[in-house]
Amino acid sequence: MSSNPSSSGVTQKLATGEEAPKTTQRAMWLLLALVALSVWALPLDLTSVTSWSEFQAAWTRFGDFVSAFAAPDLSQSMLTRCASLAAETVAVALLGVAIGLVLAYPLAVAACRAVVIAAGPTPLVRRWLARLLLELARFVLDVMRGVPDFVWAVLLANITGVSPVTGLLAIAISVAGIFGKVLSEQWDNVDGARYVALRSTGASRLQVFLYGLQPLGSRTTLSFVLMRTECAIRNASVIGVVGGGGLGTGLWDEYTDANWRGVATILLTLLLVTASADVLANFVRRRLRIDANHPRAPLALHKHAATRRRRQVGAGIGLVLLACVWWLWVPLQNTWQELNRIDWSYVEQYTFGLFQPSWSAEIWWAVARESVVPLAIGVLATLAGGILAVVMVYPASLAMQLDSPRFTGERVTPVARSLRIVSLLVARAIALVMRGIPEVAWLVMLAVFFRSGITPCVVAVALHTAGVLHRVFTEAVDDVPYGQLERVRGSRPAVFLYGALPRIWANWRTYGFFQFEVNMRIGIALGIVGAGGLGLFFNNNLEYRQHADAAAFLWGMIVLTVLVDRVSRWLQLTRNRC
Amino acid sequence: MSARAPVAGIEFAGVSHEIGTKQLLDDVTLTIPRGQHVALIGPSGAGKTTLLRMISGIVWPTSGTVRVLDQRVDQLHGKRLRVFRRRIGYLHQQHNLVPQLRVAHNVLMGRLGTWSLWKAAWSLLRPVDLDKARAALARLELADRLWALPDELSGGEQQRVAIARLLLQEPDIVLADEPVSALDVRLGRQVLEELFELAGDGRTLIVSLHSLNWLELGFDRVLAMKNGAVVHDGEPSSLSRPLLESIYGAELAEIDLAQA
Repeated sequence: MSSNPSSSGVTQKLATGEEAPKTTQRAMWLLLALVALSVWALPLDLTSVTSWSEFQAAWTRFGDFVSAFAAPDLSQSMLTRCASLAAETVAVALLGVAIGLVLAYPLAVAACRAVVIAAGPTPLVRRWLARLLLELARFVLDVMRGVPDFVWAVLLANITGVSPVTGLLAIAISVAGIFGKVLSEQWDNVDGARYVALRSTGASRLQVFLYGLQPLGSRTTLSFVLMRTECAIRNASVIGVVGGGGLGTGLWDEYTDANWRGVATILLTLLLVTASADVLANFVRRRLRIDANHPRAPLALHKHAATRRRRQVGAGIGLVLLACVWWLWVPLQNTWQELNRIDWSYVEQYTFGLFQPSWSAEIWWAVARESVVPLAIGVLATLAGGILAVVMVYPASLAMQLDSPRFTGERVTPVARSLRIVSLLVARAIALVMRGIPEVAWLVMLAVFFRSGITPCVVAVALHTAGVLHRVFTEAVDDVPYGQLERVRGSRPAVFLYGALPRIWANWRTYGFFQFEVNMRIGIALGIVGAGGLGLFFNNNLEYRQHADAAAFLWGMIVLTVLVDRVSRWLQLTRNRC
Repeated sequence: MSARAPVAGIEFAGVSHEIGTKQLLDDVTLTIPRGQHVALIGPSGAGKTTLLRMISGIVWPTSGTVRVLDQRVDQLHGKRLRVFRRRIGYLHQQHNLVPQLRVAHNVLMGRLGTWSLWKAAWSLLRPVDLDKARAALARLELADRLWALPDELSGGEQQRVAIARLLLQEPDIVLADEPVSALDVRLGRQVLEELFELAGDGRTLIVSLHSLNWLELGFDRVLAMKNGAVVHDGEPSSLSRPLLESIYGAELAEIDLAQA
């Protein structure tokens, strides 16, 4: 999932058919070594499951907690609060994504090699300036993306205070970082041969961008925006835990008061919000037929119909954003007043302080040591979640459960068919809940069972990962053309193993690796709420106003993200997917 | 040959181009006067595309000098390069059109070289110079396809839309890289005739061809290339069977088959 380096030499050997088993073996060993290292590096506390008395105690604690779910706090005041918090969360997420997109666009253009760097003979100075602009834009994007939105919220909370606006800005910045990178890569990935005709009309590079790169590279952009919006709603709901308002703040308040019934109500609201966002985003994707994997090609609309639809969509988005602003009007005004009162010299000192990390060897040794924690969480949680997701793919696959007669030629009795429908619905519902509950919320629940520490953190990330990966894994299986599956001429399991799996294996690996990157950042974020590692050290230092030390940990995060990004690019494992 | 005096239009002097160890052009020296209609033939990989791209300032020589329209193309950059490219119309073998944009925008791309960035951006929302696009499409009998998407058009129609773009671009030199290799004989003839009409008023035309049948359409001159070098230069009638065999080798049988 996180390995399998494929250099050209290896590929060549693969082509001759000699070396294939060896590379797979090597990848497996590498993965095993990584897992062993991770287990060794993390102070995993498994007494809750290894010792019988501890296990009983854990169950009792958990039982109390779960019984609260049987009777969540449904009082009028609680429900009103939940509804308002949920609306706040959604507004924060949507506005955050919108602002993030606006920020991302110019940065992405500046980070796009095809736009910035001229081909052919160019004076040296101009060449260097272009290179400088490119690297600068990429660096800004790296910083925006490398610091997880949680950490942005913590950083901004010191300026804008604990408010939904903090969450909004945090989401906007991290979304801009991710979009900027993905967009610029999409544009750079457009084959030069496809817009050479445009270049030969004498168009400038920015004109080539407008008429060539942008339309040619935008095939999956809309789909990606939807997916990120969905992610932003999930993140917005938990960003409150560290000061961003919304459901997260409510959850954390109830949790610190040990008011389990309140926690249960908020968690259920959270699940409702994220699950509806999940279902809605999928619906819109199918409706607009912009899913990259959709079997039907996009319909060519008549110009007038296309214009009309564009206007409708534009008006719809505008109205939604206006509603978001209206809903957040009070906190926005408060923040505005806050900013007018603020001591700007403090802000300046604070901001520049973050660019002046401490250079003591001791601190940087700690940074290196604590970087292992998010890395190890990433490895273990992604692997465990991935395996769980893979196990759940078969029962949830539309192709394998309902459409199989179309490629196996089998006859399905009504009883068997209804059983299969049940299996499909159950597996999908489980996955929906798994990804619908954000990592922090899982952590809150699991901390009751495992007590605090790193173990619930790994399990929490793994459970959420399983839900997220389950969807993309299942989609990949369902998108294999049935004609190709028919050729296997076998039973359903045979078709699954020998028809579907070989075709989508690389796809799964890519998603898995992307999720590893995401999980590593989550690992940092969870540290803030007590799991340990980079996030915890950063937060503690910031709270005790050791800004230079906090800055060192902050830059540690950025370096870690950039390193993982470069390694994955080098291994050619990245994919533009959430 | 056209009525205009044959001024030097394109001059190659000792031009070579290599990528890694691959020699795409090998010491090419040639002169093409203004207004001449030239056919470029040779087996695949002979360097025809590289030669055309070098004339239009998209590929630069590793050594030697390229002079087109009294300018050293190998030294142009920035704005002057863009102004130069505007004067060279280029019909590519494929990917002439951007499939996500409507035919109108694809045709209007021919004006990009004369537009500011803002005008270009604005034109994506409210097309500028639409009348010109409409007139060009009407000349090619495609008036009703103004708002179609390229994927809705046939291969021949797509190439004609690309020619409509050239009409808007009003170039001094027209280059076409195997413009009809993907079309059947009837459509191919139609597209080539459009090209000749476009180049009729004293413009230089260079067309690289896969099929030798098209030579009879009225080219002034044939350049044959092999392994990056010009191996034959003369009138279409000067081509003989043994010569073609030496140029194409085994590939000649395929061409014969395609023509039959």
